[in-house]
Amino acid sequence: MLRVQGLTSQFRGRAGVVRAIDDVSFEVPAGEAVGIVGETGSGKSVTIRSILGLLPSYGRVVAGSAEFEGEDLIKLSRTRLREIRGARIGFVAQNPFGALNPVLSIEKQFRNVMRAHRRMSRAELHDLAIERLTAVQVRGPERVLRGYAHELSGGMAQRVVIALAMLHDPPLVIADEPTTALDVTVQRQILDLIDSQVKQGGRSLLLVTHDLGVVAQYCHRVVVMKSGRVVETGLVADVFTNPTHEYTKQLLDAVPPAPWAQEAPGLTEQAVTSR
Amino acid sequence: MSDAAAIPKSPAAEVVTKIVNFARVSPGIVAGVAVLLFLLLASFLAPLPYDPVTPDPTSVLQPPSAQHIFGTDANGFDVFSRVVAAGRSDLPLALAGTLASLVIGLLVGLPLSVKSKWSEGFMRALDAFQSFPLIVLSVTIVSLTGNDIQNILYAIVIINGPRFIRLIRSEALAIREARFIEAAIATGARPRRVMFRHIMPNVIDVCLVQCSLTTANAVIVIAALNFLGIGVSPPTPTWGSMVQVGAQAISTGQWWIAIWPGVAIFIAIASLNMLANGIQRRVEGS
Amino acid sequence: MSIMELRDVNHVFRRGGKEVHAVNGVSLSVAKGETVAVIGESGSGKSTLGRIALGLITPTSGSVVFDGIELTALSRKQMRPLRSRLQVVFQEPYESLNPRLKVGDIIAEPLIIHRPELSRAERREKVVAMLERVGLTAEHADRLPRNLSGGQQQRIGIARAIITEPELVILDEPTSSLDVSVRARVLDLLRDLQRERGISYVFISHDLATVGLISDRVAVMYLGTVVEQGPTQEVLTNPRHPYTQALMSATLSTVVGQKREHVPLRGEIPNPSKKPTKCVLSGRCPIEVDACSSWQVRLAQVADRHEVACMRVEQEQKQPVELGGGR
Repeated sequence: MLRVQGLTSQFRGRAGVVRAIDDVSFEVPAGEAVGIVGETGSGKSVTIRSILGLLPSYGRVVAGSAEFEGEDLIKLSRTRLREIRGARIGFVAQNPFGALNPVLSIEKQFRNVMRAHRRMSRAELHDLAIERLTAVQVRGPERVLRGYAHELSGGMAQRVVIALAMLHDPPLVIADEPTTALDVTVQRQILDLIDSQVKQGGRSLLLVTHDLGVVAQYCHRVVVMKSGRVVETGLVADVFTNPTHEYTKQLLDAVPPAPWAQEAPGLTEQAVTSR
Repeated sequence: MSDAAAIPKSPAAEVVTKIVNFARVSPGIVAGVAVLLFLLLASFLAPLPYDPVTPDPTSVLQPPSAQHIFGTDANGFDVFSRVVAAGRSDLPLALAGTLASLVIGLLVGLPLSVKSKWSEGFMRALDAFQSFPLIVLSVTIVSLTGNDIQNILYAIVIINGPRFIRLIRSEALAIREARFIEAAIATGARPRRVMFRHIMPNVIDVCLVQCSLTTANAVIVIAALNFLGIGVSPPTPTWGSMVQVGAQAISTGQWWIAIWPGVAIFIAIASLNMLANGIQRRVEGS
Repeated sequence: MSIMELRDVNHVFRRGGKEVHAVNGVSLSVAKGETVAVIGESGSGKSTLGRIALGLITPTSGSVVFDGIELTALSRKQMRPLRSRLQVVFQEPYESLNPRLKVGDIIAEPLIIHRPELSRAERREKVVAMLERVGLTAEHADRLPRNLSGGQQQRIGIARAIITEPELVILDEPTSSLDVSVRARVLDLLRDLQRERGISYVFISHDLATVGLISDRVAVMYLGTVVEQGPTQEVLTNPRHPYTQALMSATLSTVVGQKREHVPLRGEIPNPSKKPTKCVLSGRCPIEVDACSSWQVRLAQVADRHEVACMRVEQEQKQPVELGGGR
């Protein structure tokens, strides 16, 4: 589905040119979920921004390729890339309020996203938007469509962003820390939602996160990054149970076990299942 | 950094490298400061071809030539000497006025950042005060209190002091919300310590930008007052009074008398704006 | 012997013309040398509670007693000398350090305020010793905070908090903005310092996994109310309140396939604009019954020192047989 090879990007800064990611390679097979995991400065966000052509003005891709549906995204013109983004690749950002335009109604934003790639009458689009919002479990979709981003809670806003990202039924969805800005009890709802949306459409998912738990529970494959380089990739089941690279080991060791799995594992299920 | 340690350099060479590096990052600041320094040093140190306050009645209204490169005016003053010498009074005055405005701004603006009825009332009073045409007010004050050079200083402070107060207060209000202020209070710092140790150093950046803009504004205010014949006793050269004298001669074709002091004002202001711009970028960049 | 005792603390503040009931009837005590964790999501009132404990906010009602002194009765001025004994570490390490001061000056600040008798050299000596204690070096004293990593910045925040040898330190999410590998080491440091100096901690966090590693007791807050509290082991192994269970099940394990059945809560945290007149979880709770909407929140004991504020749990305690059959 997506094949990234030797991707290298640089940033120009006060201290000169800095290599933000170096020789990054990985694949996202069709129908699979791949997690890119790393700590601050590991280059995980830069990687997807390089793929999507969303680097800031002082950054640029200097080498490598990102092959998607027979085209190299890195070499594409801006216009062609824009056609692919949104229509063939859906993007879910970390902060839903940054992704939504504060001065446009939600319906208008559906219209804009639709119009970027396809023509559709207002009435048809309205019905489609309602359908999609319902699919992502937005309560009161009519009211939400008329309203604005600031009226939504964080979780609702992220649901709207997901609905927008899925509007053109893209075969690949890229999500950049989609739950980091949300409350703990809402995070799981959103992850489950992304998971079901991706599975239902038989899509592929590229998920960037710092949370190893998210990768362990929601991804098939994992790409572990550190200081701009890939240190380990493979099936989650292999890498997480048998990490070969020292850094992956350290990372896994540093995460405290889930609270319900600490110390007395026998007791943990009881409280929940007894209800 | 590392290569500097490897090859020992003379202190002077190190300073030069530092300046060069700084210039690469912030060319505006270096260029602005360089031009200003040049103007200032020239006005005090440059050997002038003629005495700027002694007219030569034998050469009146001469166009620029080899003897008088900027020409002479109706009284027989050498325009070049006067343009350069005018920097002696205009620039230090503008800088002093700015400095005074800054100090007042800090002393008044920082305490005003403590929210209270009193500070709100003061701000409303300041609003009312600033709604006056302040330049008119300063003209009135200066002309009533006498043609003294320090009265020009007061005029600059009257116009710019409130701006500094406002700016510093609003910045301080924002910084007061910062987590490190809460940390300082939690540490047991007294209000005065919070204000001067924690808030003040953090408003200095914006103050520097405002200082360069204010100095530019002060150059204009001084020129405007001098143009109106206020705060200057002839034959002391100032750019404003020279433009005023020269303006009368433009209609009769002697353009050079007004143009050169005008150019000097322009250069001073342009360099100050460049400086302000450079500082602004640095502040935003960090 | 408790070092801090909060009794029936309520706090209401106004934001944009609306009332926010941030803390509702919270009682909490911290024993000497103990770590009490306060768990909650954003809007739970946990940070407000921390500021009340610090005497930075005076609560609308209730009592805050630190080592026998009623803090709510003190003026800001009277409060100041106490601050050397009652300290805080904030979540955002960088934002809590003055960007214009060198690290050495930041750590020296509490000494300048509370130990004015120290000479410059003595102060410097203490600062260097403290830097080394938190895992940095004397060389860091002359740096600016922005030139340090997040973990190093938080070490400086910790150094500043403990240099006056306080008896109680409020840790307001001290590790949540740090990377996992750094987080573990900062937690180790906090634990070591506690052992060495017998400091008491109030550890405010949203992360139950971290809390399990560091705290002796835990209080779970939701909408300004404590819904469950007790010894950490007991609460984590036997959570009774549906909110605690939801919070626990939301933490994902890094062990592949190790999943806990998700206890879903409907919707999201409502605005705390009204004083709760019914169960705080009402409307989101998976085990809610009609009677819950007229139930006044109160903690009831379910096990030794383990208290839960849930009507269903309370009833279950009273009539275990009847309800047990209904499950």
